[in-house]
Amino acid sequence: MNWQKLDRTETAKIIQRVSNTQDGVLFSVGTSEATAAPLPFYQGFMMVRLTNYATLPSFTLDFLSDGSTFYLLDGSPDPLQKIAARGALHLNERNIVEYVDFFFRHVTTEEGDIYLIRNPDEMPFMDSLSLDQQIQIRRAHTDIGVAYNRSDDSFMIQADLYFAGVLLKATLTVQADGQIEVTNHAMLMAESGGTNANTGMR
Amino acid sequence: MDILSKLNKGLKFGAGAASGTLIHDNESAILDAATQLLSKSATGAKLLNFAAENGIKMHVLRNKAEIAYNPAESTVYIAAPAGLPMPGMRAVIHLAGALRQAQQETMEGLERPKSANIPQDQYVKTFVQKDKDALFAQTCVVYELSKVNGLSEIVDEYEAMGYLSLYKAYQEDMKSQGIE
Repeated sequence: MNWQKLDRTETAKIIQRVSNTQDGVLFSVGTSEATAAPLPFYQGFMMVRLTNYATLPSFTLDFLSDGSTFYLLDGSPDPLQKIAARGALHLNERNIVEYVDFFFRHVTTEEGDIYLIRNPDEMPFMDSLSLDQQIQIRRAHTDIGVAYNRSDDSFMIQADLYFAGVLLKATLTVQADGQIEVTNHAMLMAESGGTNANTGMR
Repeated sequence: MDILSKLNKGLKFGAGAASGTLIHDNESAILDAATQLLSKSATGAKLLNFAAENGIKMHVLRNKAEIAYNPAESTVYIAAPAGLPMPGMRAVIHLAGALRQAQQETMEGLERPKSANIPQDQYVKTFVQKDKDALFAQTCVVYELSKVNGLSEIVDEYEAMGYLSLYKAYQEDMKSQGIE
């Protein structure tokens, strides 16, 4: 992402706007930094990151903002739904994979995070797997496929996902409002390392 | 629930928080569960006493990453994803860490540096010491809740956080002292 550091005045304004809680301030101007980055699928909204370096590890909150309204990326799909409802989401075949990746990076589930596997060698848990498992993943991996459905303005994505200790080959449907649904999947590898092409397994 | 249902439950629009603030919608329930558990551990009870005596306020933020955070002397924060329950066993570990960070402000050598204008190596050294101290307090709480109160599932949570080796080392230490 193309992060730009915001100046001190702008940072102070953002801190004033978002970080006051009932019993204290989460960020101080002296120790905090604000950065912003455009996202290819949003028009009029950017991602804004506030980081407080007064602690180690540093403390970070992420927002989506049009400069006046700040939506906290809180692990739920709600902020993404709200931005889409404001007409800022513009999906196309060039940015749809970026959107799905962004969605999974900022939305979590009761079972944990969902990882879109764009490159097996960059998977965060790859090093923790056995060599045999790593070979299986690389063999099973295929590039992400994208198809646009003109009839309902949706996209169909074929991609590998890692979720709840399971590697899946999944079909995702992304609606024009940004909602994602997994409509089909085949299990490629469970935590134990076995492979299975059946669907609906747990 | 099969894996497809679990995935789609988490992705569905409209299932998140109603809150317009940074505070988690389930803050009261999360803190109630965490403080009740913490009071059952000797180390945790001391941390709660410290918080009560010093007017330390506790809050739960909405955030994807679960953290323990002490930006000011009078307030500690833990965080949990919006719209999801936070298991008490996980919340108590984070709360113990956050309260210990607050207590460090009263402990010589473990206070947060007052200025960022100190040598970088000294800054890092201080925070490494603070982190080790907070992790030790968290490990004590996990051990006490597991061994004394029989809440063995808290060890699973600690393992999921990546700290099983600390628990095992503390357990060995207790054994070598004839305490276990």
